[in-house]
Amino acid sequence: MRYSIMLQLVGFLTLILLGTAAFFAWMQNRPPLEQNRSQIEGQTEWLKT
Amino acid sequence: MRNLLMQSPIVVALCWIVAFLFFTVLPLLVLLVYPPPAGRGFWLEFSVALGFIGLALMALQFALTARVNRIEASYGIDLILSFHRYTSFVAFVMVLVHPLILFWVQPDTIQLLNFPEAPWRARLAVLSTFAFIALIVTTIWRKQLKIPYEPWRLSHSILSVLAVGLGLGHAIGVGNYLGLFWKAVLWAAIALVALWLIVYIRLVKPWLMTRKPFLVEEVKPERGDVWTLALRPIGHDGFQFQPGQFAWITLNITPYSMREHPFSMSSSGERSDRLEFGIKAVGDFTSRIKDYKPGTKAYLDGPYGVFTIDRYEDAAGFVLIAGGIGITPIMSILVTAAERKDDRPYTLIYSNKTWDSITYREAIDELTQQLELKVVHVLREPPEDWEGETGYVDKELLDRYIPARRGTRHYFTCASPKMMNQVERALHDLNVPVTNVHLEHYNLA
Repeated sequence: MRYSIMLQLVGFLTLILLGTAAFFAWMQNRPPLEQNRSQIEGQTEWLKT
Repeated sequence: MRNLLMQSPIVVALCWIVAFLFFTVLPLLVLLVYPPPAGRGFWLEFSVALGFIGLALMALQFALTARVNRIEASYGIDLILSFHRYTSFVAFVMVLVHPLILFWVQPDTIQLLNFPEAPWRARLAVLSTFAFIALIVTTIWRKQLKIPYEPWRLSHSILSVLAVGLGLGHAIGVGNYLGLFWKAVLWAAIALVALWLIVYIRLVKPWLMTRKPFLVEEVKPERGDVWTLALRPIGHDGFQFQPGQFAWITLNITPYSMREHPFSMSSSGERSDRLEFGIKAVGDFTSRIKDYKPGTKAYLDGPYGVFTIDRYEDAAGFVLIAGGIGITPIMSILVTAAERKDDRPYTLIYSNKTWDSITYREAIDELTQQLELKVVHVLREPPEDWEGETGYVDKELLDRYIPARRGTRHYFTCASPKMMNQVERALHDLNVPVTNVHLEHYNLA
């Protein structure tokens, strides 16, 4: 039984590791900061008019 | 309050798990500091992350298997070795999936598998992966491939060093993330720590062992094809151990040869001047135990193990469940308890095939005079006039002998894996708290 608990623990740890890998990939592929800013500015342009 | 918390085995075990995650993930997240130009696509970066996590996981295996007492004391060596097997397999899958994603996202990169024409960084990756595949195959199918234990251990060390070393060489060779000098140094430091751990276990520890030799004092036969090997320390005080623990024995050869075998002590934990081990003749090494003469040199690495009553001083009593040679650590527990004049109640449920094959039968009988000890023999092939328990140690049998207030006892089981699973399940069904159940595997290989 404790092996089954450990198997679940290793499964849980694997999910965390996969999540970290996905986070790493997302961080490396998120849009650059300037692009984000111009997008936000474009979206809020109508507020000024 | 803080001290009390850190004494809880569950809190300590959780801390080690968090530390394990931290050391697996941190080297990857550090690569996000001053990262290389982004925009290579999610899947390619995901594949790179898997490669780095796989490499860090592989390096951490060296710490798991280095017999670090503090880690081992939190879980027990058998659980750590199982954790090592499972997490190594996870690392293996990540290392395999890493290039597969790359080939899928950038099909041109499959040309990197053309070994003679590929750049060195790709060749290192291929060699590292082959070393890892050989590592996994020779471990999972060792018995089917008929690889003896000692050559397997040697090849296991060499292949693991190759897999990590070549993998790191590949990562540095690619240079995308390890292009910055300090990042390469950080990852190389991780590999060097892993290398140091293997040097420690293979060279430093054996050297320490040569400074504390033992001599075989006696090899005497017991019932059930078991031999008691008695060792005496030479020029030192021996070592202190807690009843139920085990040590790695090297007999008649240098400890650098890595031909050591784990056995539980069967003697009293109160006596460090004479250590006894109960060894059943079942394998190549154990069948030769009877041939070792008094005066043979021996070396010990230990003691190890958490299968001991000394961790549960507050327990009101103990239920000990043994199957065959699983009696060895339990015998040590009983002999030590008798020597300490322990007045707590002990119940021994001891399963064997026949009446004549019961190892330490007479010695256990004597212990009932010195301890509050109830012995329940369970025989699979009982004699005709047998009136005791027969068959297997199952839920019904345990229900007859364990106390109604289950949580007042601690339960120690050492038997074959099949019997251990059965007993563990039965104790769970009988509402024995899981923290009161302690198991010891006697086959770590």
